Formats: sequence, C-alpha cells, structure tokens
Amino acid sequence: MNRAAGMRLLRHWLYTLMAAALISLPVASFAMDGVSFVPVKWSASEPTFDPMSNSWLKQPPATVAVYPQASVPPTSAHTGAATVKVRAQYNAKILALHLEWSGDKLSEHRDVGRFADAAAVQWPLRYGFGTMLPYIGMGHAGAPVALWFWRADGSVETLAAEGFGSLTKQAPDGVKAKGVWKDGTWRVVYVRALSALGEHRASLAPAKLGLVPVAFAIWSGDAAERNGLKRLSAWQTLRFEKGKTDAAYAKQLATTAPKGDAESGKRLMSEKGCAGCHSFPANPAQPRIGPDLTYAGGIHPASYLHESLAEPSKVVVPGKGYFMEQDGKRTSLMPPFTGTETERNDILTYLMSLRGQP
Amino acid sequence: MSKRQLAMVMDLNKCIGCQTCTSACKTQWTNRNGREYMYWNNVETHPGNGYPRKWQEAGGGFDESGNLKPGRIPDLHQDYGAAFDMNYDVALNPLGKKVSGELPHLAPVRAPDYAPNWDEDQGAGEYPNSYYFYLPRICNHCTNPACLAACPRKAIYKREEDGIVLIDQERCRGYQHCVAACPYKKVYFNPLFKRSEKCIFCFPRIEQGLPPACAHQCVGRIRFVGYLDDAEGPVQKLVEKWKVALPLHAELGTQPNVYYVPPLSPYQFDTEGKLTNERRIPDAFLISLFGPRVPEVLKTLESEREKRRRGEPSELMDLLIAYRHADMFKLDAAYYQKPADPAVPSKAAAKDDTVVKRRRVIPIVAAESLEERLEHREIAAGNGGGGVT
Repeated sequence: MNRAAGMRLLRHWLYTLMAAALISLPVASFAMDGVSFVPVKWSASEPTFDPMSNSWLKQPPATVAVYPQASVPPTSAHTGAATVKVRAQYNAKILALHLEWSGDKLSEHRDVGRFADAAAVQWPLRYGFGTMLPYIGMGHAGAPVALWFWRADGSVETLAAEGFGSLTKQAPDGVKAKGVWKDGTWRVVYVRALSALGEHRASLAPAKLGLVPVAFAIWSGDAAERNGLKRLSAWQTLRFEKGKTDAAYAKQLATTAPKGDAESGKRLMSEKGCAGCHSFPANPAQPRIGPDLTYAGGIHPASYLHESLAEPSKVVVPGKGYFMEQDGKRTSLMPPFTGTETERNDILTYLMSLRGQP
Repeated sequence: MSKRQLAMVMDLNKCIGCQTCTSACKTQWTNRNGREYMYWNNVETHPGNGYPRKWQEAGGGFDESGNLKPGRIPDLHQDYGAAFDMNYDVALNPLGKKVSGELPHLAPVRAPDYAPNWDEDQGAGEYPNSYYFYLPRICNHCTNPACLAACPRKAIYKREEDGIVLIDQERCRGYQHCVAACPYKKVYFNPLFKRSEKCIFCFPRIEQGLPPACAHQCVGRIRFVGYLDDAEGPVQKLVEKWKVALPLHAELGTQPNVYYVPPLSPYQFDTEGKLTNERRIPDAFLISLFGPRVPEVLKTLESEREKRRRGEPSELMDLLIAYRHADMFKLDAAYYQKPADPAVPSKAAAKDDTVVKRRRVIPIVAAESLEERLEHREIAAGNGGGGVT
C-alpha cells in the first residue's frame, strides 16, 4: 500500500467515525459530504397540528440558516444570518413540518403600511437524480416551484412560481398551517397529505424517493418585509426516515465546492472584473449591475454558482439593469468565465464562503 | 407606450372647491368595503399640506437617471385621516335603550389626527394679500408610471388602447410598493381586500363614450377629457395648440397625463393700499408645482382674456368657458367596440377566450352592490320593510 492510498483509507475511517459520532449525538441534523439533511421522523400515529405540543418540542431540530434577500432590490432590511429550527414528521398519509424562529416584534395583521409576519416552504416541482434544482429565489423558467405560504393572520395559500414576479395563487392543495407566537418566538406547523393531485403541486412520495429538496423563507412584518424583502435558506434536503434512499441522488445533492484558495478567489474577483458589477463585502465599490453576492454562499449550491460562471444566461436573475432582452429572450450582461480551472475553483471557494460576514 | 393616451385638463381658474367631483367619485367607487378612507379624486387647498398630508414630501417618482426614488407609505390616521367613526350609539340614544342624564355630544370615537381638507382655505400670505387656490387631483395615468415600475409582480399595466393605468386584482398581492412609489400618492391599499386600488379613469364610462364621473359632474366645468392625439379634441387644443395646460410635478419623471391651466390671481396691494405689479399667488410657487412655463402660460391667458374683453374672438377663451359638454369631452365609444369576429370554427374561438382572459380591475364593490340590490329586490322595487304577508 502506497502512502496516498493509506491516507485515503485513513480519511475514509475518520469520516465513518465522524458520521457515527454525529448520528449518535442528539442533534438530528447531520452533514454528510457537505449536504445537510433535515430528518423526517416516521410517526406511527398522526403528527400533531399543535405547534406547542411536546411531540414537536422534544424532537431535536435541524438548524437551517436563513439570509437576507439581497440579490434583487428591494432587499431585506435585515443584515446577517438568522436561523430557523426545522422539525418534520410523517406517517403513511401526511407530512408535517414544524418551523421555529425568533421574531423581531409581533406583527399579525396587514393594513395600510403594515405587514404581517409570514413563513413559506418552497418545493421543486421536479427533483431526483439528474434534475438540476430550480433557482433558489422562486425557481426559474423551466424549473417551477410550489409554495406553502403561511401568514400570521392565520391565512395559508398554495402558490407556484417560475421565477421572480411569477408567483401565482393555485387551487388549495390541502395544506393547513397553524402558528403560535410565544415569548418572542413563532412556531408554525404545516400539514399536508403526501399525495396531492393536480398541477403545480409539491409531490411527496417517500416510498419512491425519500430525499426531497425543500427551502424556507421568513418575513418580519415589523421590518416591513413582504415579497422579496425576506430571509431565505438554501435548498435543504428532507430525508424521510423510512423513505427510499437513492445513493446517486444523495451524491448529486452533496456536490461541494471544489477545494480552492478563498484568498486567491477574493483577489481574482477584482482581477477578472467581477467586482465591476457585483457587490460583496470585500468590494468597496458596491455596484448594482448584477446580483449582490453578500450571501451567495449561504443561499446557493456550489453547482449553481459553477453554472452561473460557465453559462451566465442559463438562469438570469431579473434585477433592473442586470440583463438585456431581445425577442423575449433574456441575456445576462455577464460574459462566461474564461479563466483557468484553478482560478475558477478559487473563485467558487470564495463565493461559497460568502455568508454575510463583514 | 400605449397606442393612444387619454388625458384630462383641469382649469384651476374655475375650480370653486365644491367637492362635487369628490362626491361623484366616492359614491361611484369608494364609499364602502375598505375604501372609506380613499379619495381617488380629491380637491385640496394650495399652498397647503394636501391629501394625503404632505404627499409632496413623501418621495417616489424617478431621479434624473430614471431610477425609482424611495417613497413613504402614508399613515392611515396621521396622513390620510381615516374616516371618523362617530359615537352614534351613545350620543343618539337609540330606541329601546333607557338612558338617564344628558347625552354626550356627537363626536368621533377616536380624536382625529388629520382628514382630507384639514387645512381647507388656509392658504398663505398676509391680509390683504393672502391667497390660495384649489387643486383637484386624480391618478395622472402616467406615461411612465412609477407605480408600475415599482410593482415586482407586474400587476399594474397601462391599457394598450388608451393608456389608462390599472391594477390587475388577480395579480396584486398587496405589497404596497406602488403606494410608496407614486409621487402623487394616488394608489391606495385596501385593508379589507388586502390589495391596492386606484382611480380607473371610470373606464367603463369611457368605453361608452362618457367622461369620468368627476369630470361629468363638475359644476365649475373645469375639466376637459379627450385623447392627446385627437386634433379635434379639447385636450390637444389646450395642451399642444394653445400650450396653456401643464403637468403637475413633471420633474418627477412619470410623464403625467392630467394637465392644469395654472390660476391667474389678483395683484397685491402695497402698504398704501395701491395695487402693485406682483400677483398674489407668487409665480415661484406655481412654478414649483407646474414647472418653468407658468409665466408664459399666464401671459397667454391674460392676453386672450383681454381680447375677449375687447369683444374680439378667442378660441382659447371659448374653449375654457366650456359652453357645451360636447366641446369639453371628446370621447369615442366606437373605438372600443371590437371588430366583428370573422367566421371561425367554434373550437378555435373557445380557445381564444381562455387565452384572452379579461383582467379583473373593477373593484369588488361594483359586483357586490349589484348582488345586494338583487337580494333586496323587494326593497329595490319599493316594497321594502313589510315582510311576507
């Protein structure tokens, strides 16, 4: 056995040990090859609809970071990351999600100049091995998303979108939601039957595929948040306890950024002209000709950033002045990246490190 | 840009501030269902705070490079002055309630902070040179609407046929960016239906060849309505030919389509009580509202007025005097009639119907009031109150 092979074996054992240690910890969310799973606990009885029930509160949560929407103005008034605790349970018929986050100040109702607290769950309409995830911000043309939108006034809506500005109300898919505000914290439970017939529905069939991408967003009414003024998570993966696993899909979801040099990436952002259009913390100019990248690593998978570098027009973020439009087709103002492999990896590594830190 | 543009001209020399336009609009569109506080048409005193309070300082519109300027959503009580709820139940001693002692005065339950016309007729200046004038305001149905630009959902659109700016009630999700972005603060959030609403230029009337209710009811006959491209219409004559009608705050970049004939005013007295050459309403004040062409317009108005005084003909004065509705309103019902469908297979026609889905823009009140009237058919027929015998 040569030295390199020995190192590989050692690393393999280390990872196995680490994974075992994580599983045995009471933290239900665990990372594997860079992807965080949100476990969906099998429940023999029907999961409770009461957000304050101990059957929820005693379940260890997965902690999901949410970041202010900064890609397209108007942007969230918040700065820096916050967290949403996510718990999930299912039985043969229904899925229940429990979200918990600390609010600013309670805002229950909408009125002239007043907005209500809200939370949304976003699902890709199509997912599985070989399918690219929709753009995190409401999907993109050809890659629609389904949404469950709860507001503090008690309303819940079934929505669908295929990119910014395309959000459209759908016939209810049967989702119910209930929120309770206590001591500065919102706890909201969403419940829906696993199967929901009709178009533009979140499709959940853990017996066929037990790994389901999902994303979350929260709005603070007191901070005048509504629509794009929100905090959002990156795509997460629900892992149904008794669901069918798909190793290839798990691997696809787990693609991490290539190991590059973030410091070099930061320098290259200026040298390659990225800083001419994109705002990010190390850029003193703060231009607004392309999406703000302050939270790019927090909300995007590396695969998306990789694609954006290679084919900037594949998903065009429709901020004002970010693109050209000809014959109804949008073309990004950004030229495809033409540097070396190493340079690209350095930039990707730097971008993935951007999570709102100064 | 739309194919044609409807526009309105208001002659401020003739507005008497009677609010008949306001009432016409309110009874037509905004007297219930979350619209109580809204005045799609209002008449305010200037100099003054206007409605909503200090709307000119609330931001919105565009900067010089065409970017939206930040704007503020007015406060329901402080700025709009929500409709007062009165203490009818205690003050009016309702039947069936035994009340002893003196009844309280009829008064608003909540002490009002503001209301439309809170500062009516206050104006500015010192006696005997004090001054004010009335400024009636509706949505400007701008060629470059800031509300439209601010809507992330493309719920706001300009009608292709006549440039009327409307909010698609199916698309609107009540984000209120339009309310903040409009520099005239003429978009309103309906707190009952949780969607934004605004003046619709009475388009169902327009399509019948009738002017908007506010213009039709105006007792001062100050309003002229027509298409900007119609050389025979009053609007083009006043705006393009005579050049006496000016947009309000054109500097905000929205290209408004409501134009104003600025008000002439008497000359000021000096300390000796003699007339000076200075007008009571300072030109600078009018320029701040209607732009740099104000002095030129006032000159034209004055010289045409002089002509008429001398008994000479003046097309401009005849037009502004507004002898006949037919001269004030030049509309075209036929323009809105869809050309007769050529014979098409019924299947294709049905398919077209689903594609060209008519957008819902008429406030829900219209449909509801119709339903209500039908529900109370007996009352509507004059048989109300009797019960079934």
